[in-house]
Amino acid sequence: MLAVGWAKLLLLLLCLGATKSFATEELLLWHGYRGAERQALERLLDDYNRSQVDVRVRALAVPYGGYADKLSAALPRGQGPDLFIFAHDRIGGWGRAGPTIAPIGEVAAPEVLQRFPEKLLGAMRYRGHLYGLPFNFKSTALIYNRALIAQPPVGSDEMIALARAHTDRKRGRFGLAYSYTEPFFHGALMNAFGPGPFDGNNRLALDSEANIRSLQLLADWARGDAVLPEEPNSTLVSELFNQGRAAMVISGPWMLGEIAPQIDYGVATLPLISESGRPLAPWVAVEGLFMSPWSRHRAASYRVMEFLTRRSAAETMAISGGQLPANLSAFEHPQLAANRAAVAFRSQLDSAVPIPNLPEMTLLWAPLENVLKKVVKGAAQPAAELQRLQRKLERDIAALEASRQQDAERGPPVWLQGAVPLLLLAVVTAVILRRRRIAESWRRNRTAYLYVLPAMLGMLLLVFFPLLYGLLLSFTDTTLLNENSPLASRWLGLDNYVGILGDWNLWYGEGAERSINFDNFYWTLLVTVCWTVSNVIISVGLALLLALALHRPIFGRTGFRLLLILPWAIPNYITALVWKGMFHPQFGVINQALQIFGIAPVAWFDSVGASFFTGLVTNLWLSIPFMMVVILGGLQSIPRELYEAARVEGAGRWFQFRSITLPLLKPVLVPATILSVVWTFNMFNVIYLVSDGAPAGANDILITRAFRIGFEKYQYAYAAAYSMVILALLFCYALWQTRVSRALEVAR
Amino acid sequence: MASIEFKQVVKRYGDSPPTVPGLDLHIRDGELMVLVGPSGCGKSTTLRMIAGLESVTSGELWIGDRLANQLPPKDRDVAMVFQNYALYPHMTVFENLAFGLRVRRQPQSLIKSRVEMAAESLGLGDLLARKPGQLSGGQCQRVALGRAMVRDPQVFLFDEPLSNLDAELRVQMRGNIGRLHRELATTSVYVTHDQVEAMTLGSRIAILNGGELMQVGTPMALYGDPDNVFVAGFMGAPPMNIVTVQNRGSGLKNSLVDLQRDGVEGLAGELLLGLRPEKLCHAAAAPAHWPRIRAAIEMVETLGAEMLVHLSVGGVQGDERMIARLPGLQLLTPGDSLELAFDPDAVYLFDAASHRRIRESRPVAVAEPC
Ligand SMILES: Nc1ncnc2c1ncn2[C@@H]1O[C@H](COP(=O)(O)OP(=O)(O)OP(=O)(O)O)[C@@H](O)[C@H]1O
Ligand SMILES: [Mg+2]
Repeated sequence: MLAVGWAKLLLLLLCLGATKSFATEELLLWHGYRGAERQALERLLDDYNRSQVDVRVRALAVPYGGYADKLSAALPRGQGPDLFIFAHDRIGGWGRAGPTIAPIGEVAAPEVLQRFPEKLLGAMRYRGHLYGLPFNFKSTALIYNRALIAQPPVGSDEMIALARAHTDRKRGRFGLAYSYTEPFFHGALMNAFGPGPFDGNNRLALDSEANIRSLQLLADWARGDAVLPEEPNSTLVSELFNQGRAAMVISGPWMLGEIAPQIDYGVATLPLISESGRPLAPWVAVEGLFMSPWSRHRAASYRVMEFLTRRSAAETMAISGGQLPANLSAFEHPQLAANRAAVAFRSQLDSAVPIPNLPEMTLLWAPLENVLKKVVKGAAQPAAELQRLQRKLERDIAALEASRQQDAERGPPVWLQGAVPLLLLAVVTAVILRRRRIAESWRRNRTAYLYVLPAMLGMLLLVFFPLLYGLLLSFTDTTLLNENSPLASRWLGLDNYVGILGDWNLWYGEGAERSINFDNFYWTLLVTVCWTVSNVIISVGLALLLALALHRPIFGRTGFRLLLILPWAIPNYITALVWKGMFHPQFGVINQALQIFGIAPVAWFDSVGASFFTGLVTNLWLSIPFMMVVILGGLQSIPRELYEAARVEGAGRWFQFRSITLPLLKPVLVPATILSVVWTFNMFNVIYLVSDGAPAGANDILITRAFRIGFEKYQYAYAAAYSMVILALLFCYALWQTRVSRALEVAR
Repeated sequence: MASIEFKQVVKRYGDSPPTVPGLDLHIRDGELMVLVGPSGCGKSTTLRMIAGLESVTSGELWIGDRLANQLPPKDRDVAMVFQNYALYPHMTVFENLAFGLRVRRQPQSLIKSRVEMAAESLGLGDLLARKPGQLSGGQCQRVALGRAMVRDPQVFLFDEPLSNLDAELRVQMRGNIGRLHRELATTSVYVTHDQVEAMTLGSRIAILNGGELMQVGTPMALYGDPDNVFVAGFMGAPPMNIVTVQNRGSGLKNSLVDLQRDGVEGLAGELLLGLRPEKLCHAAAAPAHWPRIRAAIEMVETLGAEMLVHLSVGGVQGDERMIARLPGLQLLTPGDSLELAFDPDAVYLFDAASHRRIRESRPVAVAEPC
């Protein structure tokens, strides 16, 4: 019986092995699609797999949040997918950084390329190489409420006049709403006046006349005509539109799915700029099909790319996936020709401009957004502000380029080559010298060592290795552009540290124009210290008061405790976002409450102090519950008899508090304060999500600044050095703190 | 110095039946009054009412010539020693002792001299710089005493101050407290459930049971002349033997005892008879007219010079038991039968229903040995 069973199993295994070796090539495709678009793509791939004998394509939907980073991490190391779908604006960065995406110019047949308009194909080219096939495109257009707008405007003056007629700020109604402080949206204006952020030679030209005029026009719309809501974001825009409180919005096809069913909407191309007669030219993001240079199935991958851009595939993506396919012949399909929204977005493409795929572009988004925010609030003049940004970005770009140009000339530092073997030697010698004690200890504590082994491995992998890597990185000049070249060729030494600590440019501008340089390390350090100290003092103080109140048997004590602990149970980024919403100058509940009491609303994110306050309040809200619970625990551990003894001895409440409660809470308060200091010092979420460092990075703390340097300026090494400085600061603090608490311990 | 007077004091926690249902007690100026009683009888509650740590539900509490019902603790000028000392763990012995004086903003020099004096008299001179965590239990106890002493209050309150100490230390500390009281002659209230402590320390003893005052008096009065079964059973170790007897008019009888008695004709048919264990002696050595008891030896506890013999009357219904305290010179085997005798004048009678003492015309022989 058993023998038969074994034989059967063996046969089964053999069969499996056979089929496996027969079906051969399996291609992995990564994409970031969800919902209908994902289903459409998977259906197409199923069709493809069925039509093929020896190739299978397997699709993997990567969560959007970490998609780009995953690609950047996997591809240069020869891992990751054979082919993937991604927006075209990273092409330049990947093209420069080294083996991340494969040029396909040689394999792509001309008749395949003919499927796409030159504009979309151009988006796939960088420095003369074609890196992928366009798949879908996305741009903004004008979406309007047909109940309010009979005929979409043709010129911008007409649009603003219409908008003014539909604006009633007191009732929260706006003629026009869009995320106008986001550079992606503002691109439409910039491109209407001139060539955009880069000139014809791909050099940064932010302070061009055209760009200044585009900012001026936006400032007029927001401040002069006052038809736009303040502090916009995409959630606010769709909410206003869905409630019928925004007559027109500028948004992309992604918004259509969110429009409430009762809203009868239309889509039209963006109007012409009345001054120049040129159309508003929104940026278009092109999703391309790309190939890994490491793929072992390049030919098969290309065939999949070709298949997915055929007219039939494009029709499927458009009709069941709701996409705008780059193969424009799909729009001739009757079902699409009848879809007015699709037609409108299709015709918007005629004036749209692909987002520049230059690596420099990635540096632009965050600082340009800051400039836009300042300008629409009237806090800065477009010309001066753009000139300043131009200079700053020129410096940042130079920093990126410099790192790259030096590569060839530089060799690995001599001492580094010597240091590694020396270090190893030292370790080995130390082990040999102490082998007795090590062996002894091992024999005696073998089980203990075995127990801690998993934790040690985890620490090594998750803590020490990244730390060491960060430390190494901080001595290099690694940026987005050279991250894949060998470490030794990036070696820089201490320059990053000198750059951070030796940056004494505390001011910029002259005379009356002089203002604080918020990017400076020492300003950020000052803000961080103020932030930490104020948070810790206030949260400990308030928590102590609350704990004292709740410690006594007052009515509803349990309920109050529960309520006060609740904020703790909510993920802190959600709380942070809620507070951000509450501080919204126009729609936030805080300003509305202030107005009820006859107090003028506060522009929370415009001044350094008010913006600091928003972060402070949010963080207090988040940290007080923990503090309170800890202190309550401490209070409960103080024997009641001590108070009774003190009362009998004649001590009043204050005396009892000072001489009994406070000293006996110390063992609880000291560690809680230490923890709180460390947490607050590095409280990324609150700063990043609530004030986002507004205005213009003035309220950034060290950790958010490090993030910005790393992931907005892409100066990875400089960011690593920044993090090391933070670590060093905290380390010093910890040393000092242990000394203090040890002193306390001895005293006890 | 001050006297303390409870007038119909009631203490009730929440809606439960009162913990102290109505106490009348006068504590004289300068005396050491011991409150004893079983666990949960309200001793601590009574003490804490004096300290002001518990409010008085109704009735009047007088300290000296002041009505103290509403007086906050700090205005009562009392000092209290807690069962587990309640020393401030983060302060040195000196600071602990000085606490009360500091609260009252006494000048530094006075604080120093007072603290040092108290420390001297309690033998704490070398320990002033230590913290309570570095002291032994007995030392902690002395610090707690010292803390009460330095302020020279009107009243000392002690809540089972010795219960955490071992037997030897307890005896020693008991001596300390007694000496302290004799020297200072401050009105003191001392709570304990240890009757030896009560007997040795107290000027007078108040016995509480279930919040009710059973009897107040000097230790000897309570021992020799108990008002009720509870007090009789509480004072003395081992406690007084109490057995139920049938009143035959001419005498009292049950399976163990057969006592001829005059003057019991008017009493109830069933009575409780009390007889202290030390009043039982060997029949051979006893006068002939003393009633005899024949009983089986159930168990023998040897204490050295003497022994406690547990007796029971055999037979199915024989549930009468007694303990006799006999000189520890003979060999007794459990199961053997023993004949004892007792002095008919050493007998106490109690009403079986109310457990109250029935005082006969003849005096009770307390002192005579058997
Ligand atoms: N805060 C309180 N709330 C409710 N009931 C209480 C409170 N304190 C004491 N009691 C009750 O009052 C009664 C008397 O308590 P008390 O502490 O006076 O007893 P005690 O005689 O000191 O006993 P022990 O010898 O065990 O210390 C007990 O039944 C106790 O349960
Ligand atoms: Mg008690």
